[in-house]
Amino acid sequence: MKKFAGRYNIICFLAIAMLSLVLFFGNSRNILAAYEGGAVSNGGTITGTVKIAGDAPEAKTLKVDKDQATCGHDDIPSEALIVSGDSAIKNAVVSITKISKGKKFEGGTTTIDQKGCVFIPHVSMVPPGSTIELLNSDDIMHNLHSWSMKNTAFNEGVTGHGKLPKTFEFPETIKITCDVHKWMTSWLIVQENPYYAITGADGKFKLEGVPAGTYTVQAWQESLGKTTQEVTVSAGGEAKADFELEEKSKKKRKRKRK
Amino acid sequence: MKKEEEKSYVGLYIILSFILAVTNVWALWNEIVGKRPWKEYQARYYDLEYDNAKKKYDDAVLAFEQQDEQDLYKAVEQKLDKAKNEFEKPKIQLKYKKILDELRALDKNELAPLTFESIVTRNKMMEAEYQYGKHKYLHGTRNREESKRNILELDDKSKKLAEKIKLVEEKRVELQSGLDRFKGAITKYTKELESHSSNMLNYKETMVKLESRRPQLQVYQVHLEELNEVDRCMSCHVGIDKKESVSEEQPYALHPRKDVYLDNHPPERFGCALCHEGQARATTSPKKAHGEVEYWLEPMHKGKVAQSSCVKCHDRGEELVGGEEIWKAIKLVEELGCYGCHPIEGFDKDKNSMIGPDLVEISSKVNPAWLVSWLQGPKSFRSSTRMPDFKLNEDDAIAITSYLWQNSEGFEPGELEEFDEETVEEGAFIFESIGCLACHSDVEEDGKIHGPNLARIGEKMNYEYLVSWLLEPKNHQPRTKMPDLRLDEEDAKYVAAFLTSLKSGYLEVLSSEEFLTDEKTAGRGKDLVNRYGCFGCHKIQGMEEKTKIGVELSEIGSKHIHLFDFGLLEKELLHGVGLESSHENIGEARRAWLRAKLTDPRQFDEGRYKRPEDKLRMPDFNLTKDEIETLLVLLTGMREGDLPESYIAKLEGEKRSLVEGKRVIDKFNCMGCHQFSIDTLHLKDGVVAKGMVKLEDEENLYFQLWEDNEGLGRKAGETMQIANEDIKSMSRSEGGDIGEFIIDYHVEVEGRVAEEAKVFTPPVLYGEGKKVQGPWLFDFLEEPVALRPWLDVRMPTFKMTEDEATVLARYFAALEKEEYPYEYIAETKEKYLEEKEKEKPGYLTMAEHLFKSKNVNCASCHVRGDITPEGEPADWAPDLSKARDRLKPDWIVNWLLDPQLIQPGTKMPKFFREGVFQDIFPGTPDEQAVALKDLLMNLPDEMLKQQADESESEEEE
Ligand SMILES: [Cu+2]
Repeated sequence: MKKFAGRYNIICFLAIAMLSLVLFFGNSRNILAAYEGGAVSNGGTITGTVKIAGDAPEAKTLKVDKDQATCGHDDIPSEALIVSGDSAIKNAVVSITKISKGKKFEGGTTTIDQKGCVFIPHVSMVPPGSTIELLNSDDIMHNLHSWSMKNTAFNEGVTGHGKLPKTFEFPETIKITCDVHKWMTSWLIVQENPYYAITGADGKFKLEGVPAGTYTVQAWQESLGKTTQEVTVSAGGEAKADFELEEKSKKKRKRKRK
Repeated sequence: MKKEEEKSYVGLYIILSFILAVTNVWALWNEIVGKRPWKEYQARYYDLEYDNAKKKYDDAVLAFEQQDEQDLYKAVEQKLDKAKNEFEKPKIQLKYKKILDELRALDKNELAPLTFESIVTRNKMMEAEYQYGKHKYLHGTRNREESKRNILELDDKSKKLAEKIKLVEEKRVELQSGLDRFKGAITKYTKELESHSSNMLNYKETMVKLESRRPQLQVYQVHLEELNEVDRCMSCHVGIDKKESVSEEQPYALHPRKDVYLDNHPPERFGCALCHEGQARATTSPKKAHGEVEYWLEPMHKGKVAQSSCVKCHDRGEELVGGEEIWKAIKLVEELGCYGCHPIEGFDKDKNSMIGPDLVEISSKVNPAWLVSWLQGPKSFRSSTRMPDFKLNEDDAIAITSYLWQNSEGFEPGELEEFDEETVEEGAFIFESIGCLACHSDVEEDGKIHGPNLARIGEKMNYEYLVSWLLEPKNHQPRTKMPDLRLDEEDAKYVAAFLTSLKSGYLEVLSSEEFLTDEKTAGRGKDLVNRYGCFGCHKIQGMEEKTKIGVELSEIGSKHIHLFDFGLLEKELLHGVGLESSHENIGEARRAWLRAKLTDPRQFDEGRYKRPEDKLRMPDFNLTKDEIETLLVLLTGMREGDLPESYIAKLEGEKRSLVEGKRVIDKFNCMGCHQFSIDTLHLKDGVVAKGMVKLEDEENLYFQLWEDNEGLGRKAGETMQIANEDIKSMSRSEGGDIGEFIIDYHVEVEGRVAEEAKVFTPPVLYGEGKKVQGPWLFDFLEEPVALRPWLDVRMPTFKMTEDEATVLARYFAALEKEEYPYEYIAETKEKYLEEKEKEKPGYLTMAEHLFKSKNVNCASCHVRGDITPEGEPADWAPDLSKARDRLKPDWIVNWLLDPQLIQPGTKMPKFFREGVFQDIFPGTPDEQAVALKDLLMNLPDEMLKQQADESESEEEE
């Protein structure tokens, strides 16, 4: 019995030590101080749709030229830009860019899977400081390569049916690829605050529990970039904000046929 | 008339005595005071030194007397008193005494006897050993056996004693720390109290010392034995090499950048005049000592000019800390090609280079209208050109063009071609992606000067020549730096089409081209070419044997002032530097002339009658004032006379390898493509971090460490946020300039993120010496092959000399302190594998299984000899069959363990973590990586040939 108590003490001590360490480092680098979550009474809502300006581009496909036994023989539809009939954009991320106080930050993606040589989900979101499990449900090796700038970048091979837990400290939009299968791309948004939404196929979004005030709201999509607008939310009210993203005109330089 | 004996000379005597006395007094005064101005300087210096110490002391007292400080001090004092009182309490004292008694008893009753016994035993042992040696020679075996037994016994005893002593000492330490604990608070507060007043007390001590022990006023003299020179400068400049500065004013000041100049050249060995010149033995006046007197040949070098002396001892190829100015000057002379006309010792050593292009094919290379215009003012066509302005008029330009045309070989340029937009675009794409931008620019002057600016090249060059030139530059200009990019003809045509399209409407069309074939015009041109010495920089048919036309500059810094022809400008130029005549300060006068010459080379002709052929010929280089001052430092330093061997800083060993290597790197502009070093951050708290800045924002930067950092408590590979306000300074990585263009392309056109686009930039060469084998690097430099299938940018074939390739390979090895050229590679020897197999039977087969395992699957991305992976070639990884001869074994292991640490961003993933692949190759990640390395160093033939690989074909089915 005594033995158990001793161990319990140690665990308690360790936990407190860890917590204070985290707090210490966190505070020293001003991350935890960035957003303060709490109860929001009578919060407002921001809703709207994200659409593409002009004609919807043709849907693209990705060629599977490797490991076809697992990845399949057919081309895979590209998720880089999914536009529905009425120009609505899927997988756009709408968020409030700067807000220091608001509702509690909960949830976020817990796993990103690689299945059939596709990342699922294609776009995901976590709060800063969270740990996410990167899975490989296939029977072949995938590598997970994060092209991050603020968070420590990694590139590790993950065995078939293996997993790789990773922690993300700083808010950032991170592209994650598998370099073995070049068509595999995923986006992880380490989001500063809980006011974000990933649009569905209908391009619609809803940000809830927003304290009354005026905010800069941003819509971002991996192929179209971002745009922002000012939105004013009243207590308990609903503000509307529709976004139109434009396809960037690309530099003209073609690749020589080989 | 009085009789002689009645005359009185008293008056005269008194007067004469008086004069004598006055003279004596004057002589004495002059000797002691007048001729010894240094006495006054020295006295003043010591005053300043004392004042400085006093000021510091006063400041410290003031600081100490501040209320805050006093409060703190008093508080500590109280704590100390309290601690003392606490200690004095009978109860504590009793305990303390008890432990103290215990300790003393321990010392007396246990430790002392044991120590004594141990000494006795050791002595006995020494005696026994001595006896044993004696017995060996004198007595029988019985005695020896006995004494041996004796020794062993004693040894045993001393070991036991040592153990006992150890135990007692441990006990003692325990007791002592118990005692310390009682006095802990007292010790702590006493120290704290001292720390508050220590500054003040230290300063006071210094001050008192300076006051009571002031040195006697005396001449400080250095005798440079080997040079037989006496140097007395420090008699006035007393403070020149002191630790601390007491005044900014001369002669009391400290030497600027003392750590560089004086610490590396201690005055007792080098004196001052070795660098500064002047008349160092003179002590009677500053002017005399500084050599600023008539006819003194070497007046003092002040300020930057002192750097002119660096080259007395240091190799001109070495970039010296503290020699920044003279290094700039040396680079400038090389860039301007001064030695094309002026012989200068030590320059023009690289025979595999040229100053200006060969003109033997000029007629097929350029448009004649361009040449006529160019000759009249090269800088108006291309402001960055090194070709100077010869101030030729149109007639002269036409004559020279005519001569060059008739003395060059070539083909008839075809009709001017126009290319469609698509062809030009394709050419632009190749131009931008293959690497041309590392040296050239296709927009107006943007500072890139390694290769000519090409913004208007279409107006100059013929298309056919360009195509042929691009295909093999050395075919046309054997000494050109322009490398061969191994273009095929189709690509060369595209690029040439693009280049021909770069025009700005700069040229006027020639009214007639008849002069090109006119012999009389050519004759006049020949005279002009001879007069201006064009052949000094350019190869011209029929003029290959001509010698340089300029004055030799090797000893210009010692050239007699009478030999400089000031023309009518003497007064004006000398007044400009505050001189009445050139003798007053020969050095300044010489520099005034050189300055004027470099500013406007032909101005000395002004106002004088000269026959045309006698007129000055030097062209105008359009130098800035700063450039001229820089050049003057070098010209001042080019003097006659050598120092003794022992003073010469020979360039040897590793340093030499680095200096020579850097020269070749600059010559071929390796840094235009490759990054050679990484960023270094100096933080305010003294921590130095090596890595790369990944992102900068207003408040922070995100820094990826490339090396473990104890100060930060972070490992290599980690990215950390560092607040800008914590950063003291940063030195940026060098090289890799083309990277931004490539990244830009892949971001803009392919929509990648910038970090990802970095993969397409030329490889970083930081740590290359640790990575590749010397002989392989040598071969590669001589004959590059494509290693990275995903790169569009291409390592060109430089056709460097064997010497240059050796120098480069040695440079990379020296940088990493690696062996070169011979390095023993054990892995490829039979014995190595035999031993591995003995340790772990089936070693290489197991490694092969790891290599092929579906969760490592090297072949999924890597080429292996004949076998290529699935997918497009641009997605393949380097050929593993090359590893054996190319890579260093240790590097392979480190690479396999964590590729991101060596090349952040690489697509090569990390595979080996603790506990994985145990069913295939049991062992630690380290052992697994070593096994794969051993396999790569010994890849069996059947793994490099398609048909033999069954497992893979099975998987495919
Ligand atoms: Cu994959």
